[in-house]
Amino acid sequence: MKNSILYIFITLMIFLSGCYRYPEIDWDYELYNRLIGPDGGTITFYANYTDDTNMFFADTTKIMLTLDVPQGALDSMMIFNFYQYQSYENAEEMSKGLSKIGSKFIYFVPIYASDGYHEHDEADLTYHLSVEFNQPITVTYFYTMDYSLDNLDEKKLQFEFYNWFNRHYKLYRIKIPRIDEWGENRNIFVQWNQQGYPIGYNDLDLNDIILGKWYPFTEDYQGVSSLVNWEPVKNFTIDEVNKSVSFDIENTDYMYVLAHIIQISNNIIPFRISEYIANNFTSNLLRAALIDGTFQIILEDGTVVYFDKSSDFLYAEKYNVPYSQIPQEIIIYLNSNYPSSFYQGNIKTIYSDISIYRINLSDSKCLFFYEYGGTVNYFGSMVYDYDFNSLPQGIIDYINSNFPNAIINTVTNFDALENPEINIYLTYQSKNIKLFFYNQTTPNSTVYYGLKLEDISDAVLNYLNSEFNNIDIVKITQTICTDSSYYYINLIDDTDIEIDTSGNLLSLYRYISIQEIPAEIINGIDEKFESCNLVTAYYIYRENSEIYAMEFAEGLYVEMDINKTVIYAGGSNIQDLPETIRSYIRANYDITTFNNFDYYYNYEHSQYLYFVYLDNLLLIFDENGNLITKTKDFEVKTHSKAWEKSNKKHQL
Amino acid sequence: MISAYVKHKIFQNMIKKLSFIGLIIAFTFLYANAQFLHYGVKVFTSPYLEMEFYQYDNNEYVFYFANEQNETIRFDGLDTSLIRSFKPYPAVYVRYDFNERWFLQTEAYYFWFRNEASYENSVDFSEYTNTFNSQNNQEILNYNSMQLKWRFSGLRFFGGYVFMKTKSLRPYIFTGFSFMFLMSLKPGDTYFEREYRNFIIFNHLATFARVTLHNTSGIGIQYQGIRLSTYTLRSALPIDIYAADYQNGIKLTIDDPHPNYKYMFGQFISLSVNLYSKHTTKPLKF
Repeated sequence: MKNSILYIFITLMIFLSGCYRYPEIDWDYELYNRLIGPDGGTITFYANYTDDTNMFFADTTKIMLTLDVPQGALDSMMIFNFYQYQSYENAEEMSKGLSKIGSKFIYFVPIYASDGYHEHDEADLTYHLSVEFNQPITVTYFYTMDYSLDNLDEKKLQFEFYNWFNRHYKLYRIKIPRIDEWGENRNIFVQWNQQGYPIGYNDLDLNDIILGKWYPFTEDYQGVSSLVNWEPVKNFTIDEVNKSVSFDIENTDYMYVLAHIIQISNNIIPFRISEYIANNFTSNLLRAALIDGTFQIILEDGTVVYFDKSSDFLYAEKYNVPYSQIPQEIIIYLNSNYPSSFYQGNIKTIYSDISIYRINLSDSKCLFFYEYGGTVNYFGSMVYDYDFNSLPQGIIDYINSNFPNAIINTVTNFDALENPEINIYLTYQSKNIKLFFYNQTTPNSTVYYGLKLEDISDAVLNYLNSEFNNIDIVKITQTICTDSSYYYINLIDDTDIEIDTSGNLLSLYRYISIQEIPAEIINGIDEKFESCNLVTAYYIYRENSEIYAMEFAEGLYVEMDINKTVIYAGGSNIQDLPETIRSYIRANYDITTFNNFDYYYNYEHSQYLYFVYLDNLLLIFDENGNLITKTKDFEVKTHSKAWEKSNKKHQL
Repeated sequence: MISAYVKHKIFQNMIKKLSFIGLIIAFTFLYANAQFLHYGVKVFTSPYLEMEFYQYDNNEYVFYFANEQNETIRFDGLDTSLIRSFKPYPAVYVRYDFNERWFLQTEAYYFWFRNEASYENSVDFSEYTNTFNSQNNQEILNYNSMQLKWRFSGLRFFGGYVFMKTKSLRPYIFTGFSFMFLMSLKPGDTYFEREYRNFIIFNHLATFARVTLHNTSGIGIQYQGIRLSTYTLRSALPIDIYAADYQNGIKLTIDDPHPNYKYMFGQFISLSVNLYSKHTTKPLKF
């Protein structure tokens, strides 16, 4: 019996000693908790919804956003929901003369813990909860996190917008109206998912607020996009190494975005551009923008017209071309080849002598037609997000051997009538690269985006060091072609440099102050033109020529080389014309019909000519003021004029 | 203020002392009256086992995960459908018969089962499965449930009365108590990409007391050395290490650990057979 008791006792002890060991409760939840109270603390949002295993290793590279809440900032326990909004359509619309989006829009929807966190049905109208903090809360947003690239729109946003982020981009905030702040019954509501939990504010409302279609004291849906609800955040810090932006928020009444405002005042549009628009387009000018050295003019009918820094016409894009304006040849082609497709959002791109129609078959496929000399022909089809594995084996082998384990972001395949053009966008060793293939299995060009100073060749670095005191670089892009390799470098002062890898300057555009213009150039202007109120000037180096371009308040634009030769002049001030021409006009026409003039080298006549535009009449004079010809058909002439000038530049 | 963990330790020590005293009393009784000593084995199964989960207000016991979906989890119960089976579990026992009418029995048993902790998830199911379905297996995505794998051992002490002792088939009734020892608690199959989140959820579910005390009673019928019985087990004391705080009316804040398991109830069926029997007319000596 003693043994029996002993056995039972031992058994009991074995049971007890073999019992379960508890895990350490709560040691990790604080890392992943978004509930915070008056004691303050830090909330860390992780971009790891798809895979959170890295959190075991305290992997800070997956942090998407942190909220540093000081003690006393909140009066009670609060749950912070953090949302990001993005829309390709929105970004595309903003890029038409307003701003280039550099990140997602972020905002917070707070919930008081005491209110409970329970399901809502779809009809539940919960307003934006405006919470004023007792002290500012510091937000750090890692703007390159959470790019899942799940769909084509996200890829387009990534490659057309987010990847172009540079030092021109600043932080802006956009108002989220408090209850009835913008008028009774004009409120933004929380949107619920099928589980009855909040998923942010209504996307359509956000879109309208961002685009300025919905703003205080006006009727809804003005139909015209604007930056009326945007305001710059005064104090913010961008950490370029960690790719984060830090700023303070005092309430929950704003969403935030990194963006580059490209809109410029209509008052500073170069005269030649205004003139070109007036002469060639029926719609009025709505707004204008300047981005990457290109003037972008948005017309009231939605057409976007592009000009280079010298105010030369590049091309125009008409969006959402109505069915009625699509040439009959295209309609016939579509009816016979794609009878069941629905065509929306078609684009017409107008060049000097040719127009391209882009017909969208779907989100990922479109057709191109060109219109030239009155005839329309099929040009090819473009497929976005093309299957990489369907590419020619030679291209796949090239990528695998030269960029092993690269992340293939997207592929576009332009199936032209002759040979396909393929663009492959990939990420290799943290660099974004675009490879262009045309009719061969090695790239015709390879473009490296977002390079850093240490990535450029010594020869180029030496050039920069010798020419610029303070190299403040915004953007470096390297293009490697079959027979050349060059860098495009953009500096913080908007200087654009094109230089080959050996350090030979190809082109340079740089804004300069009036004091930097050589005296002989000023004298040359004084000798030839009456206008004297210089507004802006920049130095141009291109095709081995040094040129000074100047814009005057009187409406005169002049490009002059260092030999005081006028390359181009144009203006709206009749006083800038030679006295002989002015006299001729006064003697023969009503002076009030004068509009503007151009002056440049004409290859047809092998001399410099003045082109003087009166109402419905074009007069052409030689340098000595002798009338050469006059014509009423000047609209055609202005097109050919731009083409002529473009040719001239190339020949220089 | 004594923390919940310290209270739990005190409770455990109390259980240990009680069990030791119980053993002394039982064997003192045997010393005075024992006639037959049986050693045997037993198989038992549990067609019904229930764990009652504490219910809280909507905002009292919620996990707010700081990810890009603002994922929010709120426990709402335990699904015991997984354990409604006739899986056999082993036990061994020692039994004393007195005049073939009264008996005392102690047995050691071991059993295991799976159930599922269920919770509400704020993320839409479609959104969730679009994100987490790399193995095309929606069973283990842990969208709104997590399997729990339990292993228990136990010591059961009970006494009973046998009817119709002159017949071959003898019905009997019994009652007593049982100590259950939690030997293992693990999450079942979990989705690998959600390990961190699942780890947090599981940690908060691991609050079942290591030693728990249960009432047991049942009926059976015996034929010679073979017995068929059915009995119940119902927790007699709190089974959650944080239950004391909650039951004492202490208002828990959101951050406080919350008890999960309110009580446990099981229905069992067993078949036992004596392997060795000994006639002990002489008093046993210690």
